[in-house]
Formats: sequence, structure tokens, C-alpha cells
Amino acid sequence: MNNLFWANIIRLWKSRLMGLGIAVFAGLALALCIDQYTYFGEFMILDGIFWGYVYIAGIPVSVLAGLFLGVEYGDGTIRNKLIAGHKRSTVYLANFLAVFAASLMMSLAYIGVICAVGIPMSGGLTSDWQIIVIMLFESVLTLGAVSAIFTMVGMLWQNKAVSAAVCILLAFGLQMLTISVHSKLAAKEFYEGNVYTSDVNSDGEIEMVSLEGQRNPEYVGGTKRVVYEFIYDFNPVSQGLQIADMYAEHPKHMGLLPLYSLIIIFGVTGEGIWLFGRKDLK
Amino acid sequence: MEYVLTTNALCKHYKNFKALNGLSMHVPKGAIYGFVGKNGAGKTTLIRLICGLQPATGGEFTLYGVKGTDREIGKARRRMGAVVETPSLYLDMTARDNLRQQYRILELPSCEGMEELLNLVGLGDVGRKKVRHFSLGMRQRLGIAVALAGDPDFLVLDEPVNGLDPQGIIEIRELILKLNRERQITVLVSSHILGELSKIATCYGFIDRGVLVKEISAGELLRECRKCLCLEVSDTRALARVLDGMGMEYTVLSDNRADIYGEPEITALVMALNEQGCRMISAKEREESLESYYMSIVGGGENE
Repeated sequence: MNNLFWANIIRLWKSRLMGLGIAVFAGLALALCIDQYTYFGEFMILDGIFWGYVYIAGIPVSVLAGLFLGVEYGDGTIRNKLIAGHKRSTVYLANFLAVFAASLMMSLAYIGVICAVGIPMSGGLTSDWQIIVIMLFESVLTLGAVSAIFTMVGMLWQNKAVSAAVCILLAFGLQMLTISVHSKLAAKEFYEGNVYTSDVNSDGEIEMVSLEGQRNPEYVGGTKRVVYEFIYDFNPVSQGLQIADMYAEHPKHMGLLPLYSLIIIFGVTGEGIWLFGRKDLK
Repeated sequence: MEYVLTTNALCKHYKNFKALNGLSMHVPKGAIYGFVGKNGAGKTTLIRLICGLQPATGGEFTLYGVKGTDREIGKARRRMGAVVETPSLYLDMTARDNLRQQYRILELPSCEGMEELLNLVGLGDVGRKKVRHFSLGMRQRLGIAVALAGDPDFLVLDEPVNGLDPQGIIEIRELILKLNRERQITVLVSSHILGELSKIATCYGFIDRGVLVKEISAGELLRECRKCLCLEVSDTRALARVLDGMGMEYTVLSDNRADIYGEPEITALVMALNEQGCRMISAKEREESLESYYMSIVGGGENE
């Protein structure tokens, strides 16, 4: 599998798509640094933008996986690997590892720019180094989960255009799901009560008006909330948002998010290998 | 005889459609096997099965004596190269980069022999040109070079001259002959262009509707298709004596029918037969082309 993996990496390295992905990630990191410095000056907190690559990875990885793997079918080169005697599971795993490596390379470009530009501007990360190591570990697993999902889509659709379209639509779908669930979970259970002074009444007096806190009808509670929280923790794009927002520092997430990512990586890849193994290739 | 590939009652069904329906074939070592059939007859399906792109629904095949279901089939496939339908090439890479990729895929330690391979297929001077800008003939030749990267003993080519201009057809034909003669590579060539196949094939397999209807050597096929005089006589034993005396080649088909190869002088033949007390009832000249032979085998699409 080593050779198949390296063959993929060399193809990635030579592709414009990979160069474009790295440029997009690096450009975004630079733009965020400048934006934060313009707004906060020397008080900017680098931690707020450092983990952004995990959240934005979904769409670029989906495009890359759809097109990179689509070429294998479009140009027919996947046949060369099978005729050369490689097992289907090996071909699948090598492709998954290549997509995963691509997501890591793009993320490294983002981190590289943040470190090179952001650290001189802000003085560095404020989080404890142990937290940083754990967050890095979580983010790598989340990127692995995202790569596993889009590798499966790319490997199961033989039409390059359809595969790319499905990957991108799925990425946007997961993004929409993240935004939707996030807004539901962010809704507070009660509107806060408050006290305010009324306008001058007919007697020429001003009254103190007090409003009690009211229950928010948009609040999601009970079992529904548990389900929403599960979706929010399980969806790798939502995981990316939690890491980017540093919610992942919470002890609950430190164990849960990596566990969910591992379940996705092994579950989706296992399922993908099983389905790919039974597929009629042209 | 030693066979590189044999299939036994091989089947491939797509829902209700039987692409291969109990196909049995034998590709002898060192042969150029012309795999002949109409479009949709099942040629590409068979090639996909032996290349491991699709599993068989029934039956079995053996490649170098290894069954298709055996765990060792991967190793046996390392001894073959194939170009299935269109050449499998990265269009945004150069010819050399494509070959380097194939060397990596084959887990070869170096790219030694790459230049020789490019020269062999006539692409030694393509430089940094991307495959996207290659002509169809150049792609086909590069596809063959990629298939040859692992130094295979068995080469499978699926419709290699499809869409090529006359010059391209000649180049591919000469390349196949060169590979077979100089490198002793067994070649399985599928095609529906019979005239072209007849210039290179040493044996043939005719496929129709997923079934191999006839397997025949080039020599046998030549005999089947050669020009002959079909005679109806009163006694073929007398005819045989006369023809032996005249030193002519013939085949006795029944008590009163025989085929004579060559062009005898009819008057002399009739007089000689008369001396033997034999009458000539009728004489018809027949010359069967490869196409008409094929049509007679597959029944012009009417055979079930």
C-alpha cells in the first residue's frame, strides 16, 4: 500500500487542485490575521482564529476528494492499480490516506501562515500547551472523519462530475445542518426578565415597569435536545465548529469528539471498502 | 498445450441481461489470440472479469493456472498488462510521469527501462507534452507502454485500433507483432475488425451473445476460408484417385461431394474421371472471406 499511497501523494503534489487548496487555506489565514489585527490591534487573541481550518476544511476537502478520486475513474487509472494485482481494499485505503494527507497539508498551510503572521502580531497562543496538543489531536481526527466521508462518496461514484457534485452538496448539507443545529442549541431557555421606566403618564409620573423572564418557545429541551446535541457532536463539520470556537476544550468534548471521529473514520471506511469491493468497475 | 488463460463456463449477468453466458476459451502461450465478436457480444465484459474489475456471476477462469477466485490471483495478474477500452492515463501528466506512476503502482524499485519502453512504442521524443494533447494513436501506444511497464508475459488489448487512422492502425499492428515475436508476449486482442485481426492473429475465438461459438487456429481458419472448387460426383473414391494422380489437395465431404483446393483444368479432370467410370454432376467455385465465415458461425445474428 505504501507505493500506492506515495503514487497518490506525488499526483496530489503535482496537481493544480492541491496548490489551489493550499493557497485558499493560506490566504484565508492571512486575511483572518489582518482582520483581527485591524479590529483588536495588539490585543488580538490568536486562539480565536488558530483552529479555524478544522471548520472550513469540509468544503475544500469535498471538492478535492470528488475531483481527485473522480480522475481515477474518469481517466480509468484505477484499472491500472487493480490489473497490477492490488486488492480493492488496498486501493481504497491508499486513496483515503491521500485525501486525509491532502486535508492535513492544507491545514498545515493555514497553521503556517497563522504562526508566521499571527504570532508576531499577537504574541502567540494564550491556551495551555497541553490543551493545544489535545486540540491538535482532536482536529486531526476530525479532518480524518471528513476525509473518510468524502473518500467514500468519491470511491463509490464512477462519474467524475456526479462524484464531485455529490461531495460538494454533501459538504454544504453538513454545513447547513451545523448552522441549523447550532442555532437551535444556542437558543436560551428563558428570555431574561428586566425592569425599565415607563414614559410619563397622564398624571405626569414615571413608573417602574418590571417584566419577568419568559420561556423561549424556540428552546429545544428534553429528549429532542439530547438528539440535537448528539448530531452536533457527531457531525464532523459541527465538530470543526466546536474546535474552532474552542468549545472542544470542555472536558466532555475532549473524550467525546475524538471518539465520534474515530467511529466515523472506521465505520465509514469499513463500509466504503465493503461496497467498493462489490462494485462492478468499468 | 500450455495455456495462459482458460475460462470454463464463465458467466456474468447484469440483472436479467446475460453478458457472458457460459463462455469457455483457451488462450495458448505465445499466441496472438484474436477475440472476435460484434459490439455487445461480451468481449469487454470478459476482459473486465479477467482484469479483476468485475466479479464473475458463475463459472471460473484460470490465469497462469491460478483460479480467479484464488487469493494468489493478484500475483498472477502481475504477469499481465492490459488496456481495457480506452487507455488508462493521467491526462494532465506527461508520458514519462504516467510511466513513473505505473512503476510506483507496480512497486518497482526504479524506472529503469522507461526510455526503452517509450522508444519501443515510438514515443521517445514526446518531451514534456501532456497526454491531454496527444493524438488517439499516441494515447493508445502510451497505454500499451503503461501495460508493458511490469514486463508482462501476457498482454490484453481491448479494441486497440478503434478510432485510429490507417497509419495508427499499422503502427499498433506492427507493435503487437514485435511484442509477440521479439519478447514472446502472449497477446489477447479483442476486435470486431476482422480484416485487421487476420493480419496478426495466430488463433481466434469467435464470441456471440456471451458464448464462444468457435475457437480455431489461424491455419485452420485459412483452410476454411481458402478458395476451392466444390464438386459433386458419382463416386468420390474415383475422384480421390484422379486428384492424387494430379497431385492436388482436396477434402472429401461425403460419398459424392468434395472440395478441391487450387484450380484444376476442368476438361482434363472430367476426362480422367470418365476413364475411372465416374461422372461429374456439378462444379461450383467458392471463396469464403473471414467476414462471411464469421457470419456463418454466428448466423448473422439469428442464432439463439
